[in-house]
Amino acid sequence: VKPLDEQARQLIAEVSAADSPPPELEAELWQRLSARLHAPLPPTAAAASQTSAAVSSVVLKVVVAVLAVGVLGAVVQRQRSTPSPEADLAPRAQVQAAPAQPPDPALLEETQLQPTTAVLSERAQQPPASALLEEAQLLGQAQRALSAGEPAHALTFIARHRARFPEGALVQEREAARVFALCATGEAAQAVAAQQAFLRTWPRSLLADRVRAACPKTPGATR
Amino acid sequence: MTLAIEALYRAHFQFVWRSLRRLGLRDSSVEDALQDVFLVAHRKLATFEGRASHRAWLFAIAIRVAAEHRRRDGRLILDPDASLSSAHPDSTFELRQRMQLLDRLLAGLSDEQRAVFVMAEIEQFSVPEIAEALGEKLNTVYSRLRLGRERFERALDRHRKQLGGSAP
Repeated sequence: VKPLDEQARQLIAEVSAADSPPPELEAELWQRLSARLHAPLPPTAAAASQTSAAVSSVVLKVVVAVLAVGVLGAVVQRQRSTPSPEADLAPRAQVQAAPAQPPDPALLEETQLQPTTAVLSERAQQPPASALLEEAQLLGQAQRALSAGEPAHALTFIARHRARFPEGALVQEREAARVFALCATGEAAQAVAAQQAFLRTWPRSLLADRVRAACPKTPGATR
Repeated sequence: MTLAIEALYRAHFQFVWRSLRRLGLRDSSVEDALQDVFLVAHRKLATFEGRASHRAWLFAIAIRVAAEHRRRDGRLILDPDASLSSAHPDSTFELRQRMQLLDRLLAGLSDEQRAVFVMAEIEQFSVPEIAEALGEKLNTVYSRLRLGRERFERALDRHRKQLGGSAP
């Protein structure tokens, strides 16, 4: 494809370099967004979720486990408080509650978005709920063991997940949990190896910062 | 998960803001749409597969959100005069004219061409990245990019000729 000509590129470069949001806008919009993230679901959305109660109950467990693992780093390694789980669970359950079904009322109602073929095909590509549930259950058990101060026990669940779902949907969460567990057992060499492997494989993961901070006193744990 | 979405927001706030502007939104529409983008991202984080970068993934969400805001407002917000009202107050007159021109040229592209053009030419995504993020075939993306570039260049040429070569 022929590249864009010089005068067009110059116009784009000039505008791009100069067009930036007012400095105070980032904090201001975060406050507004944060309020929306924690807002209760509207009544119609709640009713819609009740109609698919059977699916939701399964999915909710999955979401609980996924979220549990997702906040593992914070629970194990950080003093920083985590937000109310209910606030996060409700919308997340809505998103996952209809794996291959059209319009998700809660999502559409609040954001006024139409479902796109991209969204629907993304849902269709998700692993079956039963496999995902099993994965999430294993990692949920690992998380509970970690929270109970039994990292060695957690590692057995993590190993079981690894054997059963080597390429599972929650591989990233599992490997992050493994780093946290190894750190907690004091297995410094193994922990650092797992930490570095994670950061090499998923350098842009949302869990990367937590994994990086998981064993703060071990050599090589810094960026 | 709020921690995760906050990290995502802090890292990509400027990128999403800029993208929504280039996708034709202005002022309060940008602010509302930006919140919608991160709200949707928050809900979909669990299904983020990491095949595309977070930036590309957010851009794909931004395209849908921007289209929805345009539809909801019932008009094409890619209004050439809008750039002037929402330009940074410190912008010089000449720079604001350039912004106005860029947005007018982008408004001349189809929605599909504009999305690919902005990703490739303004945000410097590679074509494979764009294809992955938009769920399109490589050839489709190349074709949209080629047509978008041609149309953009022709419109820019016309603009310069109209102003006798003394235009910005």
